[in-house]
Amino acid sequence: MRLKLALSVVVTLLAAAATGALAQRSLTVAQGTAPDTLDAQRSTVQQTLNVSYHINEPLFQLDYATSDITPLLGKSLVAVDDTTWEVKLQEGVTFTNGEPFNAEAVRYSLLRVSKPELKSPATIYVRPIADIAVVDEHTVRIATDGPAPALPLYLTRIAMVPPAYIEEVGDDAFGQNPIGTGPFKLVRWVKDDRVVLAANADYWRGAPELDQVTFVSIPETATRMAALQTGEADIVTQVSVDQASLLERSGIVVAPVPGLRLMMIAITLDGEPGSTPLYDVRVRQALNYAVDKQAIVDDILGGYGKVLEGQALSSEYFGFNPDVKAYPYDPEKARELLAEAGYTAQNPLSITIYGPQGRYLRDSEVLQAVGGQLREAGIDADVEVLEWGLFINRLLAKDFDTAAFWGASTVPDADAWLAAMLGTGAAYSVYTNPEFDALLAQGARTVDRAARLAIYQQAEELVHEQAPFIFLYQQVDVYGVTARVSGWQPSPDEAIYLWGVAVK
Amino acid sequence: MVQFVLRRLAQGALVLAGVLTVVFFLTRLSGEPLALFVPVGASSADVERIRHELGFDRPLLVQLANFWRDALRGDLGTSVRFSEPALGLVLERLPATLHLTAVAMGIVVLIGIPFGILAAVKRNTAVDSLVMALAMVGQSMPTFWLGVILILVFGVALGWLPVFGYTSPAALVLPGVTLGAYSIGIVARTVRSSMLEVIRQDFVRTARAKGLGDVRVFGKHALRNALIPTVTILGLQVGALLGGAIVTEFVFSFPGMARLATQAVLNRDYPVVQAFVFVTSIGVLLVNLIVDVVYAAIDPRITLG
Repeated sequence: MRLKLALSVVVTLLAAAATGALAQRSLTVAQGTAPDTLDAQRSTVQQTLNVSYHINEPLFQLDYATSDITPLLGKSLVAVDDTTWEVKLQEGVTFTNGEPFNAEAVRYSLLRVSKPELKSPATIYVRPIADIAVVDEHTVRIATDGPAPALPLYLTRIAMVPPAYIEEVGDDAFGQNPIGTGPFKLVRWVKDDRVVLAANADYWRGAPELDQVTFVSIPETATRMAALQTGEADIVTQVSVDQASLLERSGIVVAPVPGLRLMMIAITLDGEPGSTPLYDVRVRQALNYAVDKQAIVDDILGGYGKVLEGQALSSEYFGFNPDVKAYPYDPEKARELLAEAGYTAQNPLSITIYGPQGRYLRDSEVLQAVGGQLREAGIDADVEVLEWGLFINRLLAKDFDTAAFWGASTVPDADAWLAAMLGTGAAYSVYTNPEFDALLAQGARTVDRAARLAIYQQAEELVHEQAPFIFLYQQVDVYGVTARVSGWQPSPDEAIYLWGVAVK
Repeated sequence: MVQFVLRRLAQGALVLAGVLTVVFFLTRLSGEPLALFVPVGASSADVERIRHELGFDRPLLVQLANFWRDALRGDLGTSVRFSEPALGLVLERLPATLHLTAVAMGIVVLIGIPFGILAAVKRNTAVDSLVMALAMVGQSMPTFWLGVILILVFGVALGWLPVFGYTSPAALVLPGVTLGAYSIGIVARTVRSSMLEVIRQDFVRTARAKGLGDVRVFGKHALRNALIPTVTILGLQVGALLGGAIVTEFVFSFPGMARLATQAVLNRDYPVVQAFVFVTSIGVLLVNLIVDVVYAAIDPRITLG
């Protein structure tokens, strides 16, 4: 009996020691949302991809510091002509089940994204691809149906997957239990709770400096902050801005970075011209003059925002026009423009702005502030706050008759963002302007970088003058990092990538 | 007795069918789970194609008929978000929620009943007032607020307990207390008032007249009779706890089925919401049945039939 007890104590101690040793090189990331799938080809949501890009890697990466496309599984990318790209692959790379990573796997991966059964939102990235030819074991040629200058950027968003494994287990089983070439392997996925990854010691770029990585989802901000303070999480997203200084005092590194998410109020302009007062460009400009963007950033976002320069892109996006500046806050000018358009104190302009609650940093507060500022400029402005699920459904149904406040981000290229948000017939666009559509089409077909930039900058001038948005701000993403983490930097695209990251 | 149980089970099946039908319509009132499939960059034509592929362009009654056709074969649909059977997802998460509910119920019983007795025994004294005041505080504190306060005190400031997840039994403590707080108050108040009612009755006077002490009078004669309404209240609390788990699991990021359901509601993942309601309803119906059976066992005046 005594012996038994002693033995069990020893076993317990050993187990504790083993987990202790493991814990030393493990890191926990707490995000606000949980992955829907671990199939990297079936999502465009960065929080989901943050997990799966550790398992399944794309061909290339985007370096935000230089805006260059840098090698990953692809060694080089060369435009052979206007509609053909040649990709050379890394050699000697295998998936963790032993399957070789080769040209055939690339072809399979690129074709799989648009398979109808997959219903993958990432299909938007492979749309320009017309044909994929295997040249040799480590070379593929991608033919596009016309010049596709944005393709290299899209290739940073398509993960490579193992053909034989997927054919064997099926698409859904792959999404539950993915296998890739990446620096980590899946250990366990508890849906809506946590994903546990273990180091891939044979990773082709060298083993990671962490043995275990856990991605947890903590939707409640107060709990996420507590997890950071107790050390239960090491990297935490969406730090609440009013706690930033408190966290810093307790030794947490608060790391802000201007994100790709651009917050604007989209004005509905895809109906019958003249059906609302907002079809008058003077009215739309007046709305822009009437909002004090800087005050919103300073007073509501605690400085964690950057006022947009009166255009639909921020400087991180290709196509940004540095000559276009923000509409200054000028309520007098707003009144003048409104008077010109026929709206006075006796006959005020009436507008309702819809927005979500709890989706973006201080979203409903911002919306209320905008409403207040518009009313000060003599506009009969009403705001309506909706639950996110309801909001996004009405947004997709194009059910907001005047305006909606929300934010979107894509790959940092004008082609993707402008077409998605302002192109005629895009799912999230409530704008129609043939002149603008023509510029977009032209840009999408122009391979020469300088010529392409000039086209988008011209489009941005048009956007500024036509004001289909009330341009607000670029959200600054705030991360909290414990002092034991080294080698991690936040990125504008909300990416969290942990190869090369270490813990003390 | 057997007949009674069988009849109740048949009634339960009808209730379940009604609940599922109501939930079918309620979930569909506020939009579809399209956003998961429509990234920034998709076209309006894509939205229509996706609605068609998911079957949401069909008339609601056709969708309801399809739902029942599958449900009667035990298939509650596939999660739109996870591409997995919805019932399986919920059942996978059921044990965690059961653990949490059991801990909360344990706390309710261990704290609520003794304090209720104490208040009754010491009625109209400072002890009674204090217990009843605390019961009121427990009942009126918002779950959400209490959860955050407990996290800040016992997680952040004292560092005693984990603040989220469920990787060790210790992780059950804070969410268990949070979940139980509301019911502790109700149970304590019920025990107190039924005790007070019972001790005025003749058999208690008789017991006292026999010269029995407080412990025997209260502990044996009064308490056994006072427990009857308490059993009903405890049974009802199971439903309240399962409902309360929705907020508690959210605050503590507790990986139970209520958190899965919250996300499913936010994403409009109808099949998961329906599967959650299905499992929860079965739980509540079963507990009600058990309460009725226990009733007959502890009160000889009640016969089942």
